[in-house]
Amino acid sequence: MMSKIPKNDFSIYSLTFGILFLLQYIFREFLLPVFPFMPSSGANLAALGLIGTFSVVAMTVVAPMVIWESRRVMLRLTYFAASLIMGWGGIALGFLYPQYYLSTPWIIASLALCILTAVSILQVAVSSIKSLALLPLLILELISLYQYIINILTEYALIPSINLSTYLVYPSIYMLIAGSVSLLALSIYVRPRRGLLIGYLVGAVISILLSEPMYQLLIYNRFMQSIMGEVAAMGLGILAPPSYLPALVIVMGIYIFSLIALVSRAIMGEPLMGYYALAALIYIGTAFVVHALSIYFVVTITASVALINSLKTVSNK
Amino acid sequence: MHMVGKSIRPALIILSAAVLLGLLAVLHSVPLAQTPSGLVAYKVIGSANLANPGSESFWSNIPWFNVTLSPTLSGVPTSGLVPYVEAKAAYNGDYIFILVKWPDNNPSTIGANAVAGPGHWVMVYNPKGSLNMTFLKLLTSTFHKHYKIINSSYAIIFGSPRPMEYVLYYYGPANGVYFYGYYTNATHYYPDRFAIMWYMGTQQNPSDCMNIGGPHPGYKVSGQLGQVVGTIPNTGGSLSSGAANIWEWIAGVTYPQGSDFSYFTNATWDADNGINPTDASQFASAPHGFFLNLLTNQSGLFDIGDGGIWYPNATGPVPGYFSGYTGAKYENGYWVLEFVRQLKSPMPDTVNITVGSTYDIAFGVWYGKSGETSFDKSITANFVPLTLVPKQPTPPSAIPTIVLTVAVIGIIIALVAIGIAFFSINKRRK
Repeated sequence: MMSKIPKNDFSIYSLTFGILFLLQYIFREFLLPVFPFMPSSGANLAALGLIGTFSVVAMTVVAPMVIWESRRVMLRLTYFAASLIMGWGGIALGFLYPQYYLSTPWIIASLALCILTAVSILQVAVSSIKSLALLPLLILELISLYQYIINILTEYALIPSINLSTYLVYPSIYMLIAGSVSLLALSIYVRPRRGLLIGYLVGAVISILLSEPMYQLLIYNRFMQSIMGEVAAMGLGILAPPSYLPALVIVMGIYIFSLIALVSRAIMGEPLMGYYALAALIYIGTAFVVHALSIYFVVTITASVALINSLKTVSNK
Repeated sequence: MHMVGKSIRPALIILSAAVLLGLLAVLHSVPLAQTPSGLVAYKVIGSANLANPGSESFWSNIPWFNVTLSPTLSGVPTSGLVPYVEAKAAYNGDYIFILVKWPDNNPSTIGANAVAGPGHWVMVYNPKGSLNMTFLKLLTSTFHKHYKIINSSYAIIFGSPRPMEYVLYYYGPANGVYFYGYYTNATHYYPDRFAIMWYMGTQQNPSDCMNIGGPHPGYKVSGQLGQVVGTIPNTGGSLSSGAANIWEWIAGVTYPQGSDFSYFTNATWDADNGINPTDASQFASAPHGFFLNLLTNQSGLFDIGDGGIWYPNATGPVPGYFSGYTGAKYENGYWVLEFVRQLKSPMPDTVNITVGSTYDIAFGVWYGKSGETSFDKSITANFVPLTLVPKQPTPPSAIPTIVLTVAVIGIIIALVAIGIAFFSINKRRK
């Protein structure tokens, strides 16, 4: 099946989308809540936060295009319409009726968007046996979407529901850890070639340079564990006992290595691997966030759809 | 890139549009598309029944929402014992009501005959062997506290000054003396407490975690220990960014059934402690359960409206000290508390609540009989958004639970069926 290098390519929209998400992740999702821990003054950081705002709005343009060009995906037009309505509709209503997000139609629409996101995750799970490499991250996403639905059902639809959120803290961490291992397996399960080895080397150097000093800082220092525990909770949304932090830093290193290895495989002629990297990045980046913006659902759908499209393209060659 | 060629032009147009709209959003602060989330306070008709919190008919239309708690101190056996809080919120045009309940198998229903509670006795231990006596002696002598050895691995320190908490928590483990929690026995225990933090700063989603620190910013630890620890950057109980109003309920102290409540029903004692005399005499004639108002900001933690009973005073005597109401009951293994306050800010440095706005709030809970007090507690790791909506709660009571359950099972079956269909269609295509 994979004997020939497939002809599908990593599109310019997907590339832009991935870069914008990364910018959004660093300068909005992560940076804004950890302002208080930063040595710099608020004014400088607020300016950096604008990069995040820019990225969110630019993604609202690019994400529907990624969905639009994913022609092999079922429900493509539904996803496309949802991304336009919930993205641009929300921005337009923000000018006309600022309370729109508390109105019944919008609450129902948000719930539908959340369910569509879950459907896109399930589509990834069943689209190819290879996509099971992302299974822990897919489960992580489903846990996150479940919690959102429960929040809306109890608070906005006033339906009493069993809320398991207290019991889902540890499963979420374990899925994050398992996800790093399976993504690593996916990224290195290929016959080595010289070009790839360079990619692996770059990935290894970057991930070790980032995670090793952090690990050394945390392993015997409870003060730093506490501070970084707060940073993880506020910035990344990951609730973990501070004693887990050294282990989580290693997990972070594995993710960085795997993502770079997958990207280098994409550059070396396996664009599918680029879509795996994009999907993994976005699942980790949205699973722990409070879903207070439509874009967090839209980007998850977009990443899933792009990956499914690429999987189908490969299997049809 | 396969885009190169005939389709390069649309791609360029789309990407330029993305950049232009992005820049426009940066320059003109465009509202981003939002989705509803967090807790909701509904508009209701009725008033609070402080004698039986949660019994008011309007609550029956609003379901409980579960908020997960986490420890404030990592690796401390007594921290984070309260697993969750269930909450609901409502307002009636003049007053906001916040109803909370949390499990407590061993409630501390009455305090310990002093407003400030019993002495904070610190329990230290070494999970890896014997206590490092050299460090324990250095620590206690630096802060002029006595200690008592229980066995080779456990000891009690009589007193808990803030800088000692800081040194113990951050430097103790490396020196063989770990913080275990606060010492309790059958008669020496701390009151159960519940606090709601209302963020009043301008940052988006800042940290709700209060700093562990000294009595003031830049406190210098003296002597030999000071050479190791140096200066403590923050005040204990201060916030890293912005300010917050804390509503604190203390079993025994702000609760009519507690023995310490009588301090506050004594108008003379109140006036001596810097509480507005008119308020004090009114309260003495018609006492009710209430909550304290505290202020936390970057420089420290303060009392509002008194002369500094627990912490330094932020305001001194101002009218409104008893303006916050709290009803409490202990029932079936749960504490149930109802916080009631007028929407309009009653005192300086307290939160002003308006309909249609979203507030970042956080909860903090202490199990007093298990050794949680002071900075050792359970909190929400992040702020929870609370929105006051101008709508009455109309629950879909027409849907019976059984129908709902069947519907949910149906949706799950449908999703699985869709999945199987996808899979088989895929296979056939190959």
